Amino acid sequence: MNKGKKDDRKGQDVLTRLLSVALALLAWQAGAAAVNRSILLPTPLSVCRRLIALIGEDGFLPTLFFSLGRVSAGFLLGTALGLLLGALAGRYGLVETLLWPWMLVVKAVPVASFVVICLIWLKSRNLSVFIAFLVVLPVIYQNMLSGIRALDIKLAEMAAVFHMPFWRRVRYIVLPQLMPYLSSAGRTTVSMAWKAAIAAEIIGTPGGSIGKQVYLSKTYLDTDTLLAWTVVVVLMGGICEKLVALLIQKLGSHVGAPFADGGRTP
Amino acid sequence: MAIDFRHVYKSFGEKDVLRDLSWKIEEGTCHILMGPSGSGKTTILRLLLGLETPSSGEISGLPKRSSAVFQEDRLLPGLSAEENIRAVLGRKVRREEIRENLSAVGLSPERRVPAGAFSGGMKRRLAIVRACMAGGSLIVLDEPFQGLDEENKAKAAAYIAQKRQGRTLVMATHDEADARLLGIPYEKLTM
Repeated sequence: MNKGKKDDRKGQDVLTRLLSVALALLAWQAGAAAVNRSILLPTPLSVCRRLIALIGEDGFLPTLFFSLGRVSAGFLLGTALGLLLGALAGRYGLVETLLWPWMLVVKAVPVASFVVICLIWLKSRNLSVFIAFLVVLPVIYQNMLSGIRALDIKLAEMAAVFHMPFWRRVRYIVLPQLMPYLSSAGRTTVSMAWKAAIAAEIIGTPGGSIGKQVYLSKTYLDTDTLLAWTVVVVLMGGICEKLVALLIQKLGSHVGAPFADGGRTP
Repeated sequence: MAIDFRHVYKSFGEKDVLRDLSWKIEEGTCHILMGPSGSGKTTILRLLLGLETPSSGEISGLPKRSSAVFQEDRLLPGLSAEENIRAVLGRKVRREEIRENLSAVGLSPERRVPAGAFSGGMKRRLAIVRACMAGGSLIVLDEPFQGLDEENKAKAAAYIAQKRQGRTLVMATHDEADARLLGIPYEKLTM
């Protein structure tokens, strides 16, 4: 497919997405008009106004960074440990057997139960780190494990015959095959981490968090503010997902074509 | 050092693939394994590469380093021809040397085309170049000319003969004409 056609298709795709957003906003507006009580369902315009006002407030950025920092920390910790444990479990069956009950528990126990238990164990300030970590860990682990299991044994044999050094095998044989699994897991878990962490903050109400702001809005029946913060969370989840996708894409192109310009060392 | 198969048996489950094979490969010689599909040629090559162990019997003198053209090409599909060779050999080989080798088998060293997009014949020739450029005292070739037309077969055979440089060569084929193309004296093991 040539570049012009690709650009056309991309343009059409963006247009279709914008149209669907406009349709959703129209449906929201129609719903709000039908209900006609802003406490139950404010209009998109009033939420937008509240959002703009919120962004201008002094406490907005500190609140945003409080939650962003904790979600990011939980996501990174969950990803790192998930990759490590997934790799070990893929290599050693015993590790997978030992981890099986833990992963089952982490996957099956409702987030709310973990939040309540963690409130007994941890300071509420760090609750969202732990909850984001718990949501991310099993998904990354499972994808890593599936990726390792699906590795092409024939390429591994080729590498063994040619005595390829360990890091070159990882870079040119293992990583390119794992990328589709990691890409899908990374993109899925980043939004999950946001949702779960904010839910945890709403229950634990740590001072200075987005979750606490959402909780206070609910208490004061300030639906405009509640939805404005929700929009912030949705936007942050989307931005983080795009960033993770971009990072994975960069990494993928790097491991896919290491000598494209002939200068890099394997 | 000679490679020595002594009363080697190899079975996969219930199926016996090799029965009581005794065979000696002197260093620097060329051997051709002839036989129909399923006769155990690839199994012998895998034993030579250390990818299988005998069910019983003994193999001695296997070299520490070998190189191979596998039955399937086993290239890295996301990398170009040059990158495929560098992924195996590292930076120690000059770009000009790689390009000369690729040209010798009729491959133009296209920098941006990934091996996954190559035709079957191009992949085969790239696999041959990779095996011949890699070090090791044993070169193992499993049906190296499959999928090549006559002209490219001749080029690839001349390239292999030139790059062998005294190394031991073992080639599996079902067509002895392929062995004759190499133009070097060989011993034949019929399966």
